[in-house]
Amino acid sequence: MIPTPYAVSIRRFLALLSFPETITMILLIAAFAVSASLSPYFLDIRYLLDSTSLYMEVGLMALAMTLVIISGNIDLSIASNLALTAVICAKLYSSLGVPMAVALILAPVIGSALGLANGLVVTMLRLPSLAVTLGTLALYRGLAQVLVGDHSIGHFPDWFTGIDYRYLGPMPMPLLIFLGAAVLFALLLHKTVFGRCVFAVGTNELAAKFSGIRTGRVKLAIFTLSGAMAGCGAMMMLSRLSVARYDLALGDELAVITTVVLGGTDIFGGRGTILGTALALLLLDIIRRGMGVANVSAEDQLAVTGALLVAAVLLARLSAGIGRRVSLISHR
Amino acid sequence: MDIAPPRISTQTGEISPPMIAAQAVRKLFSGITVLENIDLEVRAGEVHTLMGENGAGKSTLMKILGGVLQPDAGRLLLSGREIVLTSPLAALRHGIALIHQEPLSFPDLSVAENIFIGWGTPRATLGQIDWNTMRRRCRELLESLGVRLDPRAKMRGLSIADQQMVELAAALSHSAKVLLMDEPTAALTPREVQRLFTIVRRLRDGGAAIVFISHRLGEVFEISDRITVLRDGQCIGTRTVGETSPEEIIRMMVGRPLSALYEKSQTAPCEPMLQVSGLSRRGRFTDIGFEVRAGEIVGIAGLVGAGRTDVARAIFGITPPDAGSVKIAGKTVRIRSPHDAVRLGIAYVPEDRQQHGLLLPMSVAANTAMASLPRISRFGWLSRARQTHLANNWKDRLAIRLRDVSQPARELSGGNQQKVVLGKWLETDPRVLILDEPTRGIDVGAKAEVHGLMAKLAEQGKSLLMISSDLPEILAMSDRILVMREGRITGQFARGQATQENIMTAATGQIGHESSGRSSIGVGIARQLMRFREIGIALFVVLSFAACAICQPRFLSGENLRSILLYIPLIVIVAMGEMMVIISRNIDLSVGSILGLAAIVVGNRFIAHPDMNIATAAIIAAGVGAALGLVNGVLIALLDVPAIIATLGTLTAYRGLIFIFSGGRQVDNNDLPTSLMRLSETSPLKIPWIILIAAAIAIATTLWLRYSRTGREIFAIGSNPNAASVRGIPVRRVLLLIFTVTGMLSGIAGLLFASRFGYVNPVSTGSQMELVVISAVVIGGTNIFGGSGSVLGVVLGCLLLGLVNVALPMLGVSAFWQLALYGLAILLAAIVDTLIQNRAGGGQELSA
Repeated sequence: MIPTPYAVSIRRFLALLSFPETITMILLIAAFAVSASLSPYFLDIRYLLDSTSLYMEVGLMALAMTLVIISGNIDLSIASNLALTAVICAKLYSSLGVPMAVALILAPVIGSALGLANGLVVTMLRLPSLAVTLGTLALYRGLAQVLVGDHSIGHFPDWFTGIDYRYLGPMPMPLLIFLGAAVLFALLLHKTVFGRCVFAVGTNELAAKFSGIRTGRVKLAIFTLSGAMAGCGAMMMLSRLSVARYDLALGDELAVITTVVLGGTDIFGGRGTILGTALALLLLDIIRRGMGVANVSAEDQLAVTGALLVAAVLLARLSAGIGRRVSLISHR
Repeated sequence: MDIAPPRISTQTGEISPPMIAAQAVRKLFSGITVLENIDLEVRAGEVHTLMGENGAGKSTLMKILGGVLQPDAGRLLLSGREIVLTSPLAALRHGIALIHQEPLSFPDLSVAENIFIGWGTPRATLGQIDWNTMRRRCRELLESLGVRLDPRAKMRGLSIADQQMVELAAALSHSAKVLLMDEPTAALTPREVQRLFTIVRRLRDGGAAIVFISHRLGEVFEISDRITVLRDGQCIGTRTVGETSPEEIIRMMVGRPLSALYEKSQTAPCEPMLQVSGLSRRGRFTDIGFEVRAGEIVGIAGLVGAGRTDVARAIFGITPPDAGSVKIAGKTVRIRSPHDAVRLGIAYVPEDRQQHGLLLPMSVAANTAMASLPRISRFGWLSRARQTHLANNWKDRLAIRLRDVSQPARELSGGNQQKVVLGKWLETDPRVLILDEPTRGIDVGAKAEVHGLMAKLAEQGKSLLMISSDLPEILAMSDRILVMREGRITGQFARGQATQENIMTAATGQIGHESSGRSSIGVGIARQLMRFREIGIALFVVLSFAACAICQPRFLSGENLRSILLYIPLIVIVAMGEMMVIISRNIDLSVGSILGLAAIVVGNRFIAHPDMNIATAAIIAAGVGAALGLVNGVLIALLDVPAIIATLGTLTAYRGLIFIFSGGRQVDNNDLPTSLMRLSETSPLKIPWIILIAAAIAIATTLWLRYSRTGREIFAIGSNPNAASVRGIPVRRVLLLIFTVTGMLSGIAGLLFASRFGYVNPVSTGSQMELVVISAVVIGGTNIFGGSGSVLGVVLGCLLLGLVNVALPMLGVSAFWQLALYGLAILLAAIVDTLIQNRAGGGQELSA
């Protein structure tokens, strides 16, 4: 290849494309453009900010799920974890008279315990995380169902509910919480020893172990963190909806995994960024809002979300293929 | 040395061309010449052994002869005619069979199937598999080898020796005239070795050409007619066994001038830093004891399989020993993980640097810092700057040739990669450094640098334990040399005492009296557990039924029984498909949505055309289901999307489509024709059609899985996907078919759902069905890891779950426990399946 300036910039562009986050960014801009053309609301920043609140629980769980998938595992039980934690805390408050503030603090703890259970089965019994979390997906939601049947628990204190109506300036609280968590997770994943260990385990668990990394502990921590986020999400959802039911976040594990994969995290592990996950969350939110504004029903949106997950994986493959070809060209 | 007296062999076929020959064969791996101008001739009716040190090229030559690798130059001749072998399958068609050391088999399939599957199972008149003929032929083949094995026994439960016999029988089933056996006696007991030799002699006398690779001089002289020695990729010479001696063979194996390239290392050893005593691990090594002093380099010589790496891994904590003690600097320590070892100042440079020593996609800098993360961080905060500084430091000190420390490790050459691994460990400032084949696959220049480094480290007072198959290297670098053979230390030499010959002599030699053969553990347990499972479930079903009947007399009412009996068939139908998917090592989460979508489509059609007949409805339902399943199949089998992701996506996408097609409204009783309803009421046989249909499908599935080629291939794919594709099984096509069929079955179930319940609701129809079905399948004995399962078990599982569904409220237990129970069922099944796999000799150990 003759190194003309033209050729060089083409190569640079292709190299940039080999980053999945770039593709996410491009999709994000495209989705924004389409949605804006469908409805003028989209250009209203207030509207955009408000609409994020519906999705922030998924966002929180997606942050932790990013780490889980990077480490080469998967956690299908997070949404069920959320439901069970919410139900337990609601019950503690309504039936056992535990002060809501205490329940609020307990939620991440309970979620962590449920996540830790996953981690223990995976590390001690050496079972694949897929099988284990498929089981706990059913078990946790089932337990939620046992605890609360098909009733709802409501009547939470005023200070607790309506988190999506509280603002700090123009930013709704859920968005702020998510952004704060995203920053923390980004630092954790990309700047700490622990984050490095997560990448190592997902890249080559044996080599990581042979280098003295405690892979078992890393995995335990990841699953516990995932559970903790589910617990936080539980409280957020409870505050937003003011009811606790067994079917909270039903099916949200799909949205979470879609977010993570769409954000460029490799489903096979070893690669991913928090930035990508955040961008993907925004992308999914815009797609949903866009569909809503275009009068696409909630159910149709479901179809699109499902298709999106598959499309995300295929896209990832595509960008990996581009990446490989780019490196072949540049390292002749 | 005690060896058998030389045999006088009768040569056959002196005039006709050799059975198989290699001419001027050359092979390179990444620029390094592994085989140079090899000429080899093996005659019919001869046992010809290849001998040589590790890395001499024997295995490579064997793989070329067997079609696994292709030569870069030269040609292969079969009975004088030139042939080109593009794959092991092609070689097999020419009658050349490669017998592996660790047999490539399907653990969940029977002996008979392992011999025939993929290649040509005996068929009967209608094209179905003829089990009787298969078993008979299997017995014949095994008898011709003089082996008695039950054709129905599962491979998993067999010892390695028996598995080898099966592989031999498989080779014979192709009328193989050339048998290539790579270290066949490595894992055998003395008695099994003799059995193998009797068979080999019989085959030889029948005109076969047999090529062995073996290290055991005693055995080689006992069984071979001729020996060819390779050294450094070149053919040194061929000798007739009767005209040579073990000493001459050894001399041919090692005879080379020692080059002055290696550094001499100083010896001023002081206190012992590493002391090992009585170290044993069942099946790997016994009673290993030695010490390494500070400033000393101890070399461990031996041939592949001697157990040296196992000892190193035991010391480093990767696989802790069963017995024995390790002392560091005089203190006894318990090392249970590499983390413990690193803390104690032990470092391990592994044999396989690419898979175990490096994280190839990560940067050189990250790799260099991998064992010293606390050192480049403060309070957990990683400092990239420090990491780069560290990496550059080692880059300079070790003269690592690279562009930038931030480039991925996989871009470096072998020698430089090894230096990165060394840098990683040196950064931890270890007291004891274990190096496993440190200069394998490295060019001469880098080798010298590594040796210089090792000498310097010893000078600094570190203790080095070096495992090496490179005799000149061991002789030049070690202060003391240990030799291992078959898990024991068979020689100790001080510097100056050792020669290539006496090391090699200690490394080869006759088999000891102790059996080193790895026998299978807990053969019976696995089989018993599996049989117990089906009986156990059946028992449980009966007991639950009885319990319910006792507690609630109403349970036995016709109404109630009807209600149970009509729900279960639906689950059974879908479960048949899911079972096949899980057997093939995949999963399908979308079955519930497919069921619902098919039901809605049919329901809508009934609304539009009220007089549509049932048959048409059935075709539509099946067709819709098949199409949806085909989408899954394309994603998973053709586009390589992991099954969990693909079906998670389609689960949701299809559920969304249900809403779109239904317009949000439910399909009601009056929308559906009475003819449909009658399916769940009765039939000429007094049993509702639904049950008959489910039974028919179950029976059809049983027959298909048992008697069709594709059905058996599903088990093979699930049992060992790699072996399946090597055998020529069309894996992608089979998977495509399975997912399509599962979709079709779910579609049919959708139609029957409408019949049974009288409505189709876009939200609830089929929702969560996947969990019920998966639970039923795994409870029913289908291994969640794939490879085995039975229709009977799955039906029992469905019965059990259906019963539990109805029984719970009867017994006063909240019906809400259902979901939790499904979850528990899946977890328990997974745990049990893991235990079974671990028990029946398929242990989850780290692969060597």
